[in-house]
Amino acid sequence: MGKKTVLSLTITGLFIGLVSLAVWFWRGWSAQPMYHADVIDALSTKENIDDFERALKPKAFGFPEDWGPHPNFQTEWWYYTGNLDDERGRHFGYQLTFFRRALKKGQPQRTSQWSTHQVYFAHFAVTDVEKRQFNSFERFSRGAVGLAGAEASPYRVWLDNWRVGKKGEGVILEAAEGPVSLKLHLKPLKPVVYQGDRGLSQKGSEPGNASYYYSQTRLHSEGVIVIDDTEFEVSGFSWLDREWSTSVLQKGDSGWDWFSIQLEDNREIMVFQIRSNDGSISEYSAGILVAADGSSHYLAKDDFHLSTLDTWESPKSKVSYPTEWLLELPGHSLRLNIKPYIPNQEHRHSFLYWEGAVAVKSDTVTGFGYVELTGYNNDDRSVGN
Amino acid sequence: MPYTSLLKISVNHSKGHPLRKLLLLLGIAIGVAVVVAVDLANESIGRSFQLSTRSITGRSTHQVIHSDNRLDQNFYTRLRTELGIRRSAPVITGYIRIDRLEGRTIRMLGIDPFADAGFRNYLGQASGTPNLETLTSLLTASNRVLISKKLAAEINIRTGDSLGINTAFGEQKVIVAGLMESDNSFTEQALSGIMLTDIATAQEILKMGDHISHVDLMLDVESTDLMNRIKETLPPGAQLVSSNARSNAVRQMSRSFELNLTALSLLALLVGMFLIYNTVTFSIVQRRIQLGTLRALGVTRSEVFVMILVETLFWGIIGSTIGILLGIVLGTGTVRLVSQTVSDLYFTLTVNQFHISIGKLIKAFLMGIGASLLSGALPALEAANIEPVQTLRRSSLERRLAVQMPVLGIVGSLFIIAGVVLLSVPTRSLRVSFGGLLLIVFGNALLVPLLIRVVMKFISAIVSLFKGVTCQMASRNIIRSMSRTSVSIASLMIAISVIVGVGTMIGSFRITVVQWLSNTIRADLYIGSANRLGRELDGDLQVELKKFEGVAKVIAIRSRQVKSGPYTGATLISLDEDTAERKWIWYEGNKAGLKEKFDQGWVFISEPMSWKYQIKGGPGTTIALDTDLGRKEFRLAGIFRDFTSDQGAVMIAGPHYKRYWGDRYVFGMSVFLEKGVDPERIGRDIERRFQDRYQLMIRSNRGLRNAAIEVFDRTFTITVALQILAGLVAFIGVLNTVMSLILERSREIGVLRANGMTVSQLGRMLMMESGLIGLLAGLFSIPLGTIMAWILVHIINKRSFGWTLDFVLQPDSYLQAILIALVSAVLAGIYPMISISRKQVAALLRTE
Repeated sequence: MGKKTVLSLTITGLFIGLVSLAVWFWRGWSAQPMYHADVIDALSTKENIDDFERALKPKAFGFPEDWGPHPNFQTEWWYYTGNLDDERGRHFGYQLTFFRRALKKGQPQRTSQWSTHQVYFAHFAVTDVEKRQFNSFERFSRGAVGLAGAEASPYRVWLDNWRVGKKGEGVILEAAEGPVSLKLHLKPLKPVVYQGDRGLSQKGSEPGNASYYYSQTRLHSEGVIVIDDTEFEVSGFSWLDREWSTSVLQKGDSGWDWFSIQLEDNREIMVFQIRSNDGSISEYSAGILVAADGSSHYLAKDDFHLSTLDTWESPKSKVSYPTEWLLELPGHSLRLNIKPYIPNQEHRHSFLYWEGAVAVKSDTVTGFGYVELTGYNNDDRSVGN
Repeated sequence: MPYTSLLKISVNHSKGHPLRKLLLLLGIAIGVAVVVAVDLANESIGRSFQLSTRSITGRSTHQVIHSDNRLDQNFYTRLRTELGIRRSAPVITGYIRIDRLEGRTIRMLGIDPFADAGFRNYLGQASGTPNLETLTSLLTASNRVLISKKLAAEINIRTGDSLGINTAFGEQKVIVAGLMESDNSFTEQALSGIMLTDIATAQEILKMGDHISHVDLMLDVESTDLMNRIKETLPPGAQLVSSNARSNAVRQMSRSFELNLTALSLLALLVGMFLIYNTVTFSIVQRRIQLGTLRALGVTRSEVFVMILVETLFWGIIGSTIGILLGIVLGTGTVRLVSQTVSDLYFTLTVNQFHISIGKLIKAFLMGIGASLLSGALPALEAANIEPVQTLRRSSLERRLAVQMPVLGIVGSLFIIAGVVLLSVPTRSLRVSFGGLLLIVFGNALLVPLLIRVVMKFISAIVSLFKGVTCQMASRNIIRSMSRTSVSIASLMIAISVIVGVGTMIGSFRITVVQWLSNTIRADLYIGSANRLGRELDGDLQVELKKFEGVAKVIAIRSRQVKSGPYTGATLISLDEDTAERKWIWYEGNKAGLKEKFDQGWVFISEPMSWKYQIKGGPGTTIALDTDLGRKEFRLAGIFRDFTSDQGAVMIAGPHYKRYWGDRYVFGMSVFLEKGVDPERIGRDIERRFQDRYQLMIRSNRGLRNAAIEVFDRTFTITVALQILAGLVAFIGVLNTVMSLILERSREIGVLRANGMTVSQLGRMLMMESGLIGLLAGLFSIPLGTIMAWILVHIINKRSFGWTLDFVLQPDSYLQAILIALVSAVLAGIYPMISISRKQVAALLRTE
């Protein structure tokens, strides 16, 4: 065999090898479960919302009923977040949220118990500040045969073995996945506060573009976090947001930034701003300030001002998020610097969003909180048609 | 002489004798085709089994199954909410029939899309992902299903159309919410046997109540701790099994069937090789004169040898290629026959496509070329080694054969002895058994020249009693040209003996089964579900039937598969009372006491069961079965002859069955009538009375027997295909021989004609000759076929299925064998006879 033949054979061999590698890779890639994304798509459809109830006017909340689900509304969530420290002062952030989404109004009239119109999904995340590690998980389930659901009395919300359940005056939170698990006992230190107008949180100009929204802004939290077989006895404060609605954002809205802040002086602040595609901030952005004695003060759009100090680009999704803010509440003489404990607290599941623990500083007071940033991916699922 | 010149000679020779080359090609091609066709059938079945299993088990490592296919759905909830086992998916599955598919059954697979994504990927395939509307409608509307795009095209259905299906519970309509599609042909095929639905829909359609069929799990093999926790949670009747174990059990069912096909493929290989040997040898022997001339001209031995081999290789390649194509065509038909059989015997085979691996094709191709070269090598060596003068005289070849005959006889006998020794080895290996069978067949083939001489002496003696010269000439011609005739007769003999052997085996089998059926089926009426998709009869029906006028006794038959434990795959049958007249292989104590033992909870097992699990019987033997109350030992009362299933059967009295498996469903009922009552009339009355509540299928004693025989007969349709192939091989073989004999003797025939032999005399002589070839092959095939049948019945069948058959000679198949041999021989003689009769005497004489 001449040198040329050997050379050409080698090249041919290499070429065939490369092509097969490419084909294999491509096939492997295309076989990735695209599936979840489609469930989310299904959950995001805006069709047939007319069938559902809308949040049109303030209502009288009643407990325990309003702990439980409101299946006549399309979307609902139980949103627990918190900042915790172990004995040595090692800081952790956690998030355990349950979402309910109705595919269709009403109860199915069918014989199988598996049939349901309710889909539940949940996100569980733990931020380990010292290790600069962010663990985030997602689950889906149908709200049937006891796999997932929510009940008012006794109060419980669960999806598989992630659950929130009543215990004494408070609740127990439990979640575990992979190397991370969390078990916390939460006790409310302040009464429930109603957001917006007596719990009706208007999000757009159209009537019904609103949610029913209440919060527990300071829940004493104590328990255990396990990461990679290491146990941490932790304690700190949690925050619960309860919200249900059928349509919230309106055409032209691109996403929201949501802040929950717990200050050392026993005050809490919640503000959210709805961003529009044109870069402006919606008139319906709002907030609340809860005083140490539990009394609450509504914050209208003009009562606070948020400015972004820095941005961070996710190395994985290439999406750029604001990462440091200045929150000014002139009426309360507050200028708060808000900065994530670690920049990468991006959830890359069915939804792409950023939600994480933040440290809060000012000249007079410090604190911590949670921030949620949605709608920053450009090819995104911005609301509208 | 340079090889190029020799090549030219070869090519010119082929041009000069297109007919001979065509026969050569046909011989090789058919030989290869037979092997390819049987392999194709075999492999398709294996692969279909695999596909059917995989489409169900998906990527799971373990499963939680239930002995009754009805697992409490709360167990699944506990698995996820309490044990936190996330990599788990619930499945509800059952068979349904689609009206538009002419009643073909396919599998309904109900899954939870939220849990299933990791397990089965039909939904995960990029192109197969249902859109959100589809998904929403699957979840929220009842009776919405997905079918494959391929299936939809086949039955002309579009998304949104309504589709009639048939389940165990009657007819129903479903709406096709979307189509599944895959760019992977493997998945695509699995998909077309499946109707996918949301688990809620499947539960409603298959009337599963609050139950699911099983749970798929992906578990870490090392997490024994977790497995133990799962085991602690299992409800009664449930089992944690590894997926491999489960699919192996399914696979096991088809194994014996595949082995039988492998046997056929081995026989096909043998017949194919003989045909090739026959054809190639002739094509060379015919050219002895030409080769002798070349040698005389100074061509060396090795040059002659190489020339012949190269030529043979050339034809071998072309013939094998044609053979492979032909085999694929033949195989398609065979696959259809086979998959029908499998569906009848085991379970609905959802994939009817046929597969053959490149490996198998290469094997057949190499077999064709190898057999050609081997067949060519012997005569080529011979031709090369003989002195040029000798090659010009064919008589030298005959003389040599006469000298070799005793040697051939001794070698043949040795082969037969080796075969017998191999068969008497007490092993379950079917390879050994088939090896022995092949040795015996081959040894017999070597004995053929000797046999021809003996038999022909006898025939010549008879023929000499007649006055006709032509007859005597014909019979002597056979002996004179034994170097050709013996090979031809041997290959024809083998082909025909396969017909006799398989025919006798099936005949024996059938007679045994008919006898067994009449002993087992004693009741006047048999009542079953009209739909074999599920069970819907229950104890209430039995109670009501007992009150029916004219009914003397009703015996409920309950049955289930053993799904776990040492006897997985066997059938458990419960009878209120055993009325059959059984043939016992073994029984405990005295025969009269068996009934009492049975009522006390002792069990009977079938002969295949005792064979499969090596349960020899003997006092104190017990059988461990997994019951709903845990594993339990049952005492063995007897082993009976049975042909219901090669997987084995355990028979237990009704009350004990109900106690351990608490089954309220009834598989069927035997109804005994009072004397003088017309079974047909009662049958119609019963059907009418219960038509609102049950879909009954009522069969009379005779009707059931006939139905059973029908299934039996269909099972063996594959052998009809084999017989046709064998007949084809026989025909081509004789055609080749007779053609060659006549063409080669053209000068001799010319001399005869010149000396005054008329065309009709010539015709008679040639006909006699080919008829004699056929007759001899037919005669020889009878003892060989009978031996083959004996081995098939007493050794192969016993070793692969574990049942004993009565060996019954089949005179019909003997007659059939001789007829096929004679007819194909005579038919094969017609064309050469006509062509030679037409030739001028001068032309015939011109050879020199």
